[in-house]
Amino acid sequence: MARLRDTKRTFIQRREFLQKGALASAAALIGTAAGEAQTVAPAAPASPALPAQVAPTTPIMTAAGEAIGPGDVQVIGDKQRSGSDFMLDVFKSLGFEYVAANPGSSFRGLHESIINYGGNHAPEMITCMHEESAVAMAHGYFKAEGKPMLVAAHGTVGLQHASMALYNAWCDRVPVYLVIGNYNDAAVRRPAEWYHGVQDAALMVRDFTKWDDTPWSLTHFAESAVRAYNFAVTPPMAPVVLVLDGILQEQGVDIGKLPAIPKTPVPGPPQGDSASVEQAARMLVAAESPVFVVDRLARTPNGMKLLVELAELVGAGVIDQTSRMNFPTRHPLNQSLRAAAAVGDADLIVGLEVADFWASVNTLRDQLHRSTEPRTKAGAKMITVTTGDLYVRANYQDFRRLQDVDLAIAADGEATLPSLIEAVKRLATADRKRVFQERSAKLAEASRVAADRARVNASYAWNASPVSTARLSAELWAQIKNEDWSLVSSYYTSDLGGWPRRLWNFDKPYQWLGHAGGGGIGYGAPASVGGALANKKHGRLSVAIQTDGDLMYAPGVLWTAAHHRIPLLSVMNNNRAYHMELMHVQRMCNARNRSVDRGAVGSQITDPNIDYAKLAVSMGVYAEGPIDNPVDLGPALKRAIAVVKRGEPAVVDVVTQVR
Amino acid sequence: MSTSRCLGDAEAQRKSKSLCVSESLRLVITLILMLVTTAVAAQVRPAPQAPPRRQAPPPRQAPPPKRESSEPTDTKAAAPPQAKAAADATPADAGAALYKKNGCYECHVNDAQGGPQGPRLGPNPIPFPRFAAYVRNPAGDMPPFTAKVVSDQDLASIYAFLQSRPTPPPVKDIPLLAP
Repeated sequence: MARLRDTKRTFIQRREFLQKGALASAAALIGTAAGEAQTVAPAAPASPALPAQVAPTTPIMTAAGEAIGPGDVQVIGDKQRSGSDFMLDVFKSLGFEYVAANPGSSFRGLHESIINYGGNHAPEMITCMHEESAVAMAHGYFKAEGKPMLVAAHGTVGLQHASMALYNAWCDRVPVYLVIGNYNDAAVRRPAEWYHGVQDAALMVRDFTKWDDTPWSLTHFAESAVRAYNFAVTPPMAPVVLVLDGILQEQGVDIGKLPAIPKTPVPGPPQGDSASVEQAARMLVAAESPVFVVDRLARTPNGMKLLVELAELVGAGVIDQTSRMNFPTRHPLNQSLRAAAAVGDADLIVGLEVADFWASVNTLRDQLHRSTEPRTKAGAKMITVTTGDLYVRANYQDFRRLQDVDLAIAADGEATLPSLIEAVKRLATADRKRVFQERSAKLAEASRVAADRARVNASYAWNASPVSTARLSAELWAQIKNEDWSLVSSYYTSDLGGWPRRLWNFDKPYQWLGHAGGGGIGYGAPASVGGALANKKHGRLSVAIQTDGDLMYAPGVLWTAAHHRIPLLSVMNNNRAYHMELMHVQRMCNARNRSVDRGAVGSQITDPNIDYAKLAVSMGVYAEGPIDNPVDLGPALKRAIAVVKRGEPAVVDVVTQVR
Repeated sequence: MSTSRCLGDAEAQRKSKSLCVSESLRLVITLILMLVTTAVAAQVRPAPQAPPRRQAPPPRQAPPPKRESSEPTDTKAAAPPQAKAAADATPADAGAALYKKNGCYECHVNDAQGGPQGPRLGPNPIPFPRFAAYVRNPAGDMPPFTAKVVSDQDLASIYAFLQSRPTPPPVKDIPLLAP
């Protein structure tokens, strides 16, 4: 709403307008604070939309108005707390460090409690420019820190903005703790609260959240808040939503009447039953060429350690599908660079928290007439261990095709590994241990050959302009390899063929945070800021390989990084296209046998090219680029890292080849 | 608006077996280097879609194609057809533009070096008959390119472009690629 300057002319115009009664409803909103308004307030019933439409007048305080004392002063007394103060006490008991939010009036009570009652510390308010950014930040933060971030949003428009990011987190089985404001009681809603009011606020995301509730009292709130947290972080983990009534937030309660905060601990993760684990161990020990396929296995830093122990114990290869940092990239048993061959050679395939096990052992040919084919050799046996068998929703189809397996253990993979390791140790004979050692040596050689091949492949187009993605990865690796680094986001690193995983030495759990989960673009930029926020207190150098299309969904997150001094190096993988979509359209042109030269129409981000450096600079972020000569890249990265080490974000825009 | 856009890892792996053809708008400097064996032609971009100036057989003699069930039986594919003459463009020049225009770069990347969705095509591409047969009737995930959408003549030009790709420096000479 634009406001006019209070010049003499506009003042006169306003008086005339008021005399005609045209601003009756606006005046009604002013209430007793303005004398002018009192004279016309009864003239017409208020229309929610009208005040904004006829707002050339800004109510002014007059002598007459000031003379009228407030009739109903309402201030929470010293012996009271607001409802949202108590809510904050509960949130503090759950250990939240941050609350990411784009401000919204439906949670204004909680907002004020956070910054004043809570001192804006634990949780600290992180100002976001889009609810999707707030949720995606929480998504990335969890995967770096291992605990949820609180997110606050409007119950309607805010949640609608947040929903795609929430879906990503749900598909990725990452807990996001989302609170949304809503004025449940229709009798007390301000005009705007009707637009933002909703009967069942969480309905729109109920298909892809684990639990939600709308508490009607502070006792109800306390129980639901703790319950929501426990549900969210117990595998299978997923987002939860709590609807905070506006009046419940804002009203005062005598301190002595505040309910107790529940102390219920987080339940332990489900482990595989002993009989199934014993059977799995027997199959592993007996197998001649077992391979582990792992995806969301490592929930905690211990997950990688356990998997390394098990793989070394049985001399089995590991294919890391990269939704988590499951296995060191340069471990001799890592067979990810030859995944298809490793699966094809295997006589036992063990899937540990694999989101799409069917696609791990089958192929689907994407032609006009689609066909499928197994990747495995005849007679290969299969085992799965996953919480996916414990949690399925009907509507959204993230459960994938059903693969026939020989043993399915419905349990958390990481929590099941200790008992599986112990069972294997108990069952492995000296003869089998010799077999395991010989197998390990062969796998190590295969891994070495694959790594050498990757380096040779990286050398092609080494000096090309635009910069090859291999060159970009190699240049970045050269700058960070001696630092305590963390790759917080990289769209193409999610792919087994992604260059960082082929060229870099990932050997710490926080060095890779996985990907979006649901494939919703727009995750990368905010998740990298969230991951960097978590890494900040650990002193890690956070880097992201940032795709251009992803950044443009909500580039305001760069401002959030600058505003909150979140150190993050974002290196643009700027191929000036929604390139995956471009390939899909190309496929359709080919299938229809027409105009294959038009496949790029509608998917390119050119004419004009976006200047990402200028975009970043406009939001207070250090930036360089666009860089399309590979020779210029190393020095630019070095300068940007110096900025990041000072505690600030930096962007280096690199114009790259398409893949 | 946000939509699911990523292909799964499995799909990417499947696509890695694919092969495709067309032209490139970028990367022209090295084309002339390959044919003229001098380093003069840097910075010059070929006119898009300029026709080849001479016949465009593969510079190296290709061995007979290995018979595969997916290969066409048309023996015309065994040799590139005659290309049109042009004043100042080589077949590789024309091929660069066609490689880009027809979307080959989308999977096989700007310089034909390959990527997650398509293997490296050059330098030293597979023999032309096999190349042509695969483009017309690919066995994997690669979309087919019929003669209606990419002519035999254009295919030959693209092949010349692939042959002209520069050989990279040895890995041992690239410090950034040290293990």
